[in-house]
Parts: sequence; structure tokens; C-alpha cells
Amino acid sequence: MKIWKHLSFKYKMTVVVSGFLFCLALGSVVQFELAMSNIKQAKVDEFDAFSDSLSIMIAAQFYERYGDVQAFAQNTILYTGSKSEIQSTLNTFVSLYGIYDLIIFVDTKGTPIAVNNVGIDGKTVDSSKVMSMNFSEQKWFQNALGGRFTEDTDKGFVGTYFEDAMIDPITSAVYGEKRMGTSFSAQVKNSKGQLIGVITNRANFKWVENEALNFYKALRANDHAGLEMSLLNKEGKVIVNLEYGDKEVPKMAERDYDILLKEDYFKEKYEPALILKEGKGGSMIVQNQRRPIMQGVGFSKVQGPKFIDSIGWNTFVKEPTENLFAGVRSARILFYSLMAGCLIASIILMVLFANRLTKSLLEMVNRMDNAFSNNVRISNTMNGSSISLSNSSQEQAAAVQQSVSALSEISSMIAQTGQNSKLAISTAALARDKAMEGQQIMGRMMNSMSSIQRSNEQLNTIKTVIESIRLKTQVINDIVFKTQLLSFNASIEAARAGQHGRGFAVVAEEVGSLAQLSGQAAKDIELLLGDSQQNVEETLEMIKSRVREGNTVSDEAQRAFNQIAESVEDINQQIKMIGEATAQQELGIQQTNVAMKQMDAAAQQNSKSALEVNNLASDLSQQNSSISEIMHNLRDWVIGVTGFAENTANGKSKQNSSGPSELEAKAELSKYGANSSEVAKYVVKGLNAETSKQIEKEEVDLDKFDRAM
Amino acid sequence: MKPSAEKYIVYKVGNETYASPLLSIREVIEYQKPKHMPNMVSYFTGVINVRGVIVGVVDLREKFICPSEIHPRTAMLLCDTDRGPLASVVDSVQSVIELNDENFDRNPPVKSKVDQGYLLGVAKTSLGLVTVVDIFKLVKEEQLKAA
Repeated sequence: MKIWKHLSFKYKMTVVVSGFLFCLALGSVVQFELAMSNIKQAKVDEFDAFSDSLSIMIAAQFYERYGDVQAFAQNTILYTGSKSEIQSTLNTFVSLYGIYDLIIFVDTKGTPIAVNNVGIDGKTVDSSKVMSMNFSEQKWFQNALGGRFTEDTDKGFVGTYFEDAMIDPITSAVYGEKRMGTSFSAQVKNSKGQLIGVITNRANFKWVENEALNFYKALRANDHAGLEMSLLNKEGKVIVNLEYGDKEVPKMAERDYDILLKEDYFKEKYEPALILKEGKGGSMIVQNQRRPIMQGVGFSKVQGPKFIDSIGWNTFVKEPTENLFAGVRSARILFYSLMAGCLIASIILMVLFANRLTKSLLEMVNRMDNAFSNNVRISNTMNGSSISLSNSSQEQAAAVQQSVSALSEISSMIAQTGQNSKLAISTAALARDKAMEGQQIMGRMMNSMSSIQRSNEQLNTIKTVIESIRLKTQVINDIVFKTQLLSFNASIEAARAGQHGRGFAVVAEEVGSLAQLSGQAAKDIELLLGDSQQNVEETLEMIKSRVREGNTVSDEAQRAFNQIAESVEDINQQIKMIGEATAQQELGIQQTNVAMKQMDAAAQQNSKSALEVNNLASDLSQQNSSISEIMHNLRDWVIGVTGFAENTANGKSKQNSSGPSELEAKAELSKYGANSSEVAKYVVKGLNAETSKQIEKEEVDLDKFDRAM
Repeated sequence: MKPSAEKYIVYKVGNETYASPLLSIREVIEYQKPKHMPNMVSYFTGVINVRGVIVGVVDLREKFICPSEIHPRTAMLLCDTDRGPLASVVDSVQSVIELNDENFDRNPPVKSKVDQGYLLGVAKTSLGLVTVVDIFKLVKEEQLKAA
């Protein structure tokens, strides 16, 4: 068994299948031979039937012939008719029955009374020879006369004396040649029952030979080449011999007197004859009594209800085994050649197939190896990811709790917001009222401003008055200037006038000084006016600017109040919106609460699932190890333990990686974030993808495998 | 009156105060915008109509290289030259003064913008130092120069 382990699958399979085939072949051969011998036996046994048939046919004839003579004997013509009448009757009988060479009617002294003179073939028979004979010494006469018949009272054979096959002396003498036949003799009684004579039918042995011939022909019609038949008498001598001989047509038409009544089957120690001697029939294969060929022989005693067994005839039907078993031989040849062919083909096919199978198996094993390592990796990953999942779920649950508390806080804050909003609304309303008040005040201020403006305008008139004064002053100045010029011109004229103009000169001077005074006064006025005007201007400007300022300020204030009012409106709107939003928030919070609860539940579920997955992963690990074992066993089995027989290049197994550690798994998982659902999806997807890929592969392999088978 | 106590007319051109003998001046009139004459000397600013008489105008301020502004006090000094009446534009006419040897130095060692030909001297007045110029010569010379 140790060696067995080392052998490759191919060899093992070859050996096993060859052994099986061999056993099958052996069984077939045995069966075949048995069948063949049965066939042979059947064929041989057939001959027993044949010989029995022949016996029965002969017996039937005998029965007839036995009765014939008595029928003849009871013909009244024998005692009522004349000799010629009797003769013609006898002739009739002869021609009618066609087997009696002679029918002789003899009186009680053995003298022939009448005999037929026409033979079987219609030719004339020299009856005178018969008439000249005396048969008182003949056994048949004596026995018939004496009433010592060949009888079997049980079967009803009474009243006829039968002479066994012989070369009939009477017929031979009459026909002038050897005539073989039997005789049937019976008493003739007259109407009164007195014995008047004996009638003897000298039957040509053709009455038996014909039967044999007919049967022979019948058998030959169904092949049976080389068929032979013979009939033996009680002493074992051949009385009918249908033999194959050298000619195609067997020697049967001629009686071979070298054989007939000379060949002694008993003497020649012919086994069938010997068995017959003991009184049994049958069939066997035996060498011909004279020729060195094996024949299937059927032999029987002629017996039965239509035959007197004591006559002791035996029939033989023979056929050379060569012919007899020709079919068997050809069948055997065919069988053995077919078997050999099948065996060889089977062995070749099986070897090829074993090769293919081995290759396929090894391929499959390798692929399973890969699948296995993948599986290991996956199961380890699954382990890691399930642990992660569990952790994540717990974290998730904690987070959910936090969320719930945060939500309740938010909820209270929202309520507070609501209240604050209400406050804000009222405040805003206040603000708006104040703004409107302010606007009113501003309005009043504007009115004051415009009244101030109007006063300002009155002030303007002062300005214009001053202006006109100024203008007048200008005029005065002008006058002064002109006066001055006049004074100068007067001085000049005075100077020109010389003496006469001295008085004028004084006048001129005075005029000049007057002008100067006026001028001075005008200047003073101007100065004063200038100051006043400046003051007025300044005041006007100041008021104007103040008014402007006031206007701008009030405008700005108006705008500001408007803006305030608008803002207040906006605030109101916004507060409304806040209110709405708050309401929605409340709704949202509620919904979120519900969601949180669901998430909590989900997280719990995740935890459970993670544990389950963990368990599954460890199961998978176990399965993997058993698969690994199985795979290695398979490989060992296919290629032998040391693999020295058929270790192909594909056969080298990969080193099993021990799978990723949990850290690596976690790292992989972190790619997908701490999202537990994602993790689960990844795990399941990976597993499914791999598994389904593998399954597909395996299916394909199996298909190939199946087809290979 | 003593001939040494002559009357002089004091006028200003730009920031400088000048004086000229009263007799050299025929008349003092208000400023009139002169009708411009083409291709004249720069300080000859045109002609004016004084009571039907066409008089040429000379802007002393331009001559003395002062800014020529027209203001209410701007006056014209009419003087009769051998070529006809001529009006000189001055910034203002101050007064008429009498000068005698006491307050009139006829040969001052001064440098002024006006050439010595015209310069008659310097007078000490209540208005400060005043350059006394002969307006005829001033104008005449210029006219000659112009020709």
C-alpha cells in the first residue's frame, strides 16, 4: 500500500481499470465459452432429436408394413379367387404400395399358390422362379404357419412374422441381383377360419431407406453439410448407410454391400453403438467409426408404439463437427477479435483519459488552491471588518446617544429662540414707534428751518440796503475823485494864471482838502459798511450754513428714521421668518429624533450582524482549512505522495499566505471610512465577487470535466 | 510867490512816488481807455478824445516797468509837447505840493530807474522821498527814441 500511495493517479487508474476490464473480459470469455459449449451441446443434442425423428418415421412405416400383410391376408380373393385373380390382386398390391418386391401366397405345405408378376417399377417379374420354389423349410413359413409371430401384444402387434433386414434370397433369386429387404408373413384363413396358407410380403428395404432419404433431404435443405445417416440392426450391423463420402451427393442411392450387413458398429467399438447396446439413445461428439473426422452423432433405438422394440434397430444421424460447429467457430473468432480490439481500444482510451483527467484535476486543484488562498484572505478580512463593524456600531450607538441629547438641547434652544423672537418683535415695534416720533420731530424741525430761512431772506434785504449804501458811497468816492482832479486842474490853471490865479489856487486847495475830507469820510463809511456788510454776510452765511446743516441733518435724520422704519419692517419680516423657521426646526428636530431612534436600532442591528459575520468568518476559516486538507490530499492522490511520477509544472502549489492581519484589514477598511454600512457592503461585495468568480470558475471547470468524461 | 517855491504835482507810478512841475501839466483827467494804434512802441498805448482833441497816450507804468493796472484812482496827466498833447497814465495823483530848496535836492547821488536826463532831483515831503522828474523830457526823449 505504501507503493500504491506513491503511484500517480494515472497509473492507479490504469491498473484498476485494466484489472476491471480484464475481469470483465474473463467473465465474457467464460460466458462466451459456456454459451458456445451450450450451443454446441444444443446442436449435438439436436441430433438426438433427429435420430429420434428418424426412428419414429421408420417405426411408422413398420407399423404400416406390419399391418399390410395382414390386410393382404384377409383379402377374400385369396380363397375365393383363382390363381390369376389372386395374382392380379397381388400385382395391384405391389403397384399400389410400391415397396413390395414380391408378395407370395403359399399354401400350408409351403407351395406357392400365387405371386405377383409385376414389380415395383412396373416391369415384369419372373414369377415362375418363385412358383418353382418350396418354402416349407423357410423359417418364415414355418413360424408363420406355426403361429410364432413377431409380436408385441402390448402395442397391438399381433399376427405377423417379421424377417429382419437381409439380402432377401427369394427376391434376389427372382430379380437376379442382390436385393435387400425385410419380409412380413401372415396366416391366411378362409371364411371358416381355417388356416389355408401363409402370405409373405417381401419388402424392398426401400421402405426404410426412403424414410431415411426423405429425412436426409429435409435436413440437407437446412444446410447440415456432410450429413450422414445409418441404421443398425440388433447385431450392430449397418443396414442403411447414407454416407457423405467423396462425392457431394452422398452415397445413398446405391447400396454399398461392402458396408451393408458387414460393418459392425459394435465390433468397431463405436461408442454410440455401445451405448445403444446398453439400451440408451442420445447424442455425442465422437470420431467416425471408420474415418478420422469428428462428428456430432445422434443415435436412438427405433422403438415406440409403432415398432416392436425387440427388433432392435438403431438409427444414427451424424454431421462432421467441422460443419456442425462452423458457426460457433466463426462466432468465436469474431468474439475474440472484437474483444481484443475493444480491450486495446479501452486501454488506450483509458490511458488518454487518465492523462487528461490528471491534468484537469491538477489544474482544478491549483485553481482551488488560489481560490482557497483568496478565501483565506477574504475570511481574514471579513474577520477584521466584522470586528471593525462591531466597533463602529458601538461608536455609532454612542454617537446616536450624543446626538439625541444634543437634539434635546437644540429643541430647548429653539423654544428659547421662539420667545426671543417674540421679544424682538415687540422691541422692533417700539423702535418703529420711536422712529415715527423722531420723524415727526424732524418734520417740526424742518418747519423751523424753513421759517429761519425766511428770516434769513429778510436779512438779505439788510444786505441789499448795505449794498446800495455802498454803491452810493462809491458814487461819493467817485465824486471825491473827480473833485480831486478838479482841484488839481484848478491848481494847474491857477499856476498858469500866475499872479492872477493865486486866489483861485487857494480855492483849489480848499476844494482839494474838502475832497480829501469827503474822501476820508467816504472811506470811513465804507469801512464801517464793509464791516457791517461783512458781519451781515458772515451772519447770513452762518445762518445759511446752519440752516443748510440743519436741513442736511434733518434730511439725514429723515433718511435714518426711514431706514430705521424699513429696518424695523425687515426685522419684523425676518422675525416672522425666524418664527416659521423655528417651527420647521421643531419639526425637523422631531423627525431627527425619530431618525436617531432608528439609527440607534440600526446600530444595534449592525452590532449583531457584525458578530454574526465574525462567526461566519471563523466558520469560513475552518472550512478553508478542511478544504486545504482535502486539496492537498487530492493532489497527493493524483500525483503521488512524493510526486515523482507526474509532477507537471502546473503542479507546484503556491505558498498559502496567512492572510492579512487585523491591522491591515482595518487599514483597508479605513479606505471606506468608518461608515459601517460601507464596510459591510465592501465585505459582502468582496466576498460575493470572489465567491461568485470562483464558483463561476469551478462551474466552468466542472463543465470541462464533464465533457472530458 | 517865490519862483523857487514851485508847485509840483505828486503822483504815483507803481510803488514809486514821483513829482513833476505843475506847469508842465496842462490838465489832469480821469483814465480813459485809449484807442489802440498799431505798430507803436509798447508804452504808447493809443489815443484818446479829450473834448474833441485827439491825444496820444503813454503808459508810464509800462515805461517804468511796473504793472499796468486800471483802478478807480488811475489818472492821466495831459501835457503839451512840441509834437502835440500827450497823456501819461499814472496810478494815482496824490496832491499838489510846494517845493523849495529846502526840501528839494536838485543833484541827489541817487540811482533810480529813470535816466538822469529826466531826473530833476529828489524832494523831501510828508509823503516821503519823491523823485522829481521832468515829464517833458521823459516823454520827449522817448518820442525821439521812438522816432
